Amino acid sequence: MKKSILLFALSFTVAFALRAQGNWPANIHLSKLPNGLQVLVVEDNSVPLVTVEIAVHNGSYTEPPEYNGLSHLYEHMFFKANKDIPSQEKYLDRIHELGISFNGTTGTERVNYFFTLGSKEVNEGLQFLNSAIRYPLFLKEEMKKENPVVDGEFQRAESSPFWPLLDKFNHKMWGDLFSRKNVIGDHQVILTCTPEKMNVIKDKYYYPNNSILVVAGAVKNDDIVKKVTAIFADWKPSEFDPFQKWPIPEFKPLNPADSLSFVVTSPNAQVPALQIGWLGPDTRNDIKSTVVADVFSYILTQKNSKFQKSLIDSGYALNAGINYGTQQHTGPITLFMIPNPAKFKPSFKMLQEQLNQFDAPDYFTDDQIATAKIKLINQEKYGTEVTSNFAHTLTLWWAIASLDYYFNYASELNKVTRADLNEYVRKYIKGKPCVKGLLLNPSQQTNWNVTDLDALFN
Amino acid sequence: MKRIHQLTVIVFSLLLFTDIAAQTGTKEINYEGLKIIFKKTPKEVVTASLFIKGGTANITEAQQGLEALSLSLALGGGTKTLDKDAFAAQADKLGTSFNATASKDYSRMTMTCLKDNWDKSWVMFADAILNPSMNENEFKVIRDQMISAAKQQESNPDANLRKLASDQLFGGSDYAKVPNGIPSTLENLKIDDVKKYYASLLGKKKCFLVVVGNIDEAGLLNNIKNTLAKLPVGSEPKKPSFKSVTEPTVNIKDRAIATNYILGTLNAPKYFTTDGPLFEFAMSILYDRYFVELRTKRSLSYAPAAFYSKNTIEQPTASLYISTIDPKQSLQVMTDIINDIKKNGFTEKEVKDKKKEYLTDYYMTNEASAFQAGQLGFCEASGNWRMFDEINNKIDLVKTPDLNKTFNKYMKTIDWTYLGKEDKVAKEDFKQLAPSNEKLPVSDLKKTKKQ
Repeated sequence: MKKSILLFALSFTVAFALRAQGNWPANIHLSKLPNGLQVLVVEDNSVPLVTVEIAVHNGSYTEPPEYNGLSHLYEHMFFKANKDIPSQEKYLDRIHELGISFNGTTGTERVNYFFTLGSKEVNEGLQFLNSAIRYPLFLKEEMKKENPVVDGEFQRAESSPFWPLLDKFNHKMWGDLFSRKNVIGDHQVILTCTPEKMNVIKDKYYYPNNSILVVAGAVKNDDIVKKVTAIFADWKPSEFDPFQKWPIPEFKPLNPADSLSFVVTSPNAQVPALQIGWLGPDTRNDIKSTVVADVFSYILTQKNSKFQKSLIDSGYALNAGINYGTQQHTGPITLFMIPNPAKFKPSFKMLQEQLNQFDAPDYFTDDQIATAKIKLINQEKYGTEVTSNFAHTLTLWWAIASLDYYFNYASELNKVTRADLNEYVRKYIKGKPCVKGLLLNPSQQTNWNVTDLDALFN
Repeated sequence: MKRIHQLTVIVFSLLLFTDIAAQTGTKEINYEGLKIIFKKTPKEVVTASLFIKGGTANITEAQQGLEALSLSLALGGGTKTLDKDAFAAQADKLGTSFNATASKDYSRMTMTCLKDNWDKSWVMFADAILNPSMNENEFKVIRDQMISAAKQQESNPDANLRKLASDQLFGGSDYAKVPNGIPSTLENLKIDDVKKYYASLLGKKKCFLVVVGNIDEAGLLNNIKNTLAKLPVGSEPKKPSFKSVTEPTVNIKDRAIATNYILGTLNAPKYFTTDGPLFEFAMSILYDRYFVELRTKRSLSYAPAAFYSKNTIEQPTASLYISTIDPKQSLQVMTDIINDIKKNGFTEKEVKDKKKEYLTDYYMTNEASAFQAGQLGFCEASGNWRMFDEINNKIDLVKTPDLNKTFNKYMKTIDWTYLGKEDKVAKEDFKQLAPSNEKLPVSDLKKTKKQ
């Protein structure tokens, strides 16, 4: 009886390896603590550093309008007082003592925090991270000071000449769910935020079973798992799935009746800029198309593609490309173009010709399909070079798809066929409603007499 | 929580270079007159960069952008045996990229590839350097893209602020020239200008090659043997002319944007001197003080910064930077912090901690072949590539009194540039520093309260 109790206790304190690791590199190990915290160890001895990173399923996709921008503010508050460190000043002192290079980022579907330091001090780094992620104090005075700092980040974004285009574009794309894709947030919400709201976010999302911890660098998996277990095993998991309790609303299809095309002016804009957006696939509902979308985008980046030759080589545009952003909840497909001012109006007609041919049998060659796959696979190889950055890549894919998605990406890419590409174009792009936005400066608008953007395409 | 992060390198003494180079795997090779700096690393990515010295000294004012355009066209326009589409397709298949960059003191032609594709990628790189087709259509494409980029630089607040500050300080000298060109000069460049310029640009006296990656030396030299070893000797490199900050100046440019951008510029020591790395170390601590005081304590800015700008090798500068909606108070605090250091010095703890951060930064630089190639090339152009590899051995030798002395020696006259709402500032808001070894002005840091 005594023995069985001991085994029971062990089952709650010992991490277990999660997989046989079929397509996973041999130096990457995944474990899970009994409280649900996933622990990913990347062994790389090339420099005596370690990066400890924690990522949480949080971000603007969890934000209704009254919380818009607060996942990001929360991320800033992570670097302030907690139960073990009484103030941000002391927090920064500790950063300096440990020689840490640090940062955090907030996206639509992930918030991550990371410290890079000497690998001999990995335990100190883990302790430091543990205090910050589990025990933030959200001191009223520190929040009061941080709100304008975060708003200052917002103002810098607004100072970009492209801001008027991007802001309006995103409002049109996401409609009444704009806040769910608007990471930077809302000025008023940020400036009036209180510690209570921070605690609401913490109590919803900041649990071990909604997080992943990555330890990457000159470390050994077994040792790290022991250390992590000793520090994080008593972090209490949530008893609910936040995404069941507070589901992310589904984005509605674009409605052509909603005036989806617009022209916006800014006195600071020096070059015209066009952006077109479609609602694309996501990793919950159409995982295959998320991979196909990447191949399609990379076909169109190739210099010998019809897209580049027709627009760039022919002098209609100075820059043009298409991108799909992988997401769990409706990834956007975005086409951008910098029209050549010398061929401003004809450039739109030429672009329309390209759009019409996206699924034509001769629009791209088999060789271009193969090259796109190679480029994508090689890009991932390059992504592993800098281990401190690779940790961010891994948590991103964990958040927006899964680690298996990432490690099986190359084999899934190789399955993509021409028929898949055509199906993707027809399902998401060709003839589908889209948002079109054009940025001009006032004199360009006057000189080119542009009021109806759609008319330029006809 | 973006924190402006500087990869920094420190060397305390320039007189103590030892065999550390051999220990770190970096080696200098002279191959038929071409200087090669080769660093063997364990990762799969290889970076090869051909550095061309001279930078803004190589071009006239009317030629701004010419060198950058020439190099971009050479690497992007195909070769005499592979047209640009075939060249690009082959590069895509290998996962190899080529790019050209130009800065005030030198330009770079860079190839980045995977280790397994090193030999094939080298053939392409060497062919593009030695036998570029200089395709006219591609010339027009690249030139128009550069014009567009130059216009976008004007509308980007940070880029425009730097340009205004550079014009103010370096006006009339080589360093005022924009390596990537400005719209008016780029528009006048012709394909024949580019062909003629490129034909006489490369030479062994002016160029050196940096290669970082997991390849063997014999293979590298074998590749160079029939390619870059054939470069002509060429002419001696020129050094750009420059100007220094001589008197307090304020340049205010009105622009209706959401926040206001400020850059203060001071003279700083050359990197390849005893003072240079010490000063960089001191500026890195100043950065931390700015972060704590301006951002954490006073909420004046998301992005305050102080750093040593060493990319103008002949006349580096100290940069004091902020974006803020309260420029008056920010300017006061920015100068008060420096006055406080001039009066009281850095603390021993700051120095001790900063040494540790430097080590982290150094090793982070060593994670990527591209970072290392860039740093080795910069150090070589500044005086000696060994400066990069010396850091680990020299870092512990930094002493606080030396640091204070060096900081005080250079923190003197500020040349201010402002981009933002004109009515938010007056010329008198742009403070100067207290003279060294004299009493601080009334606005001592501790007396300055948040308004």
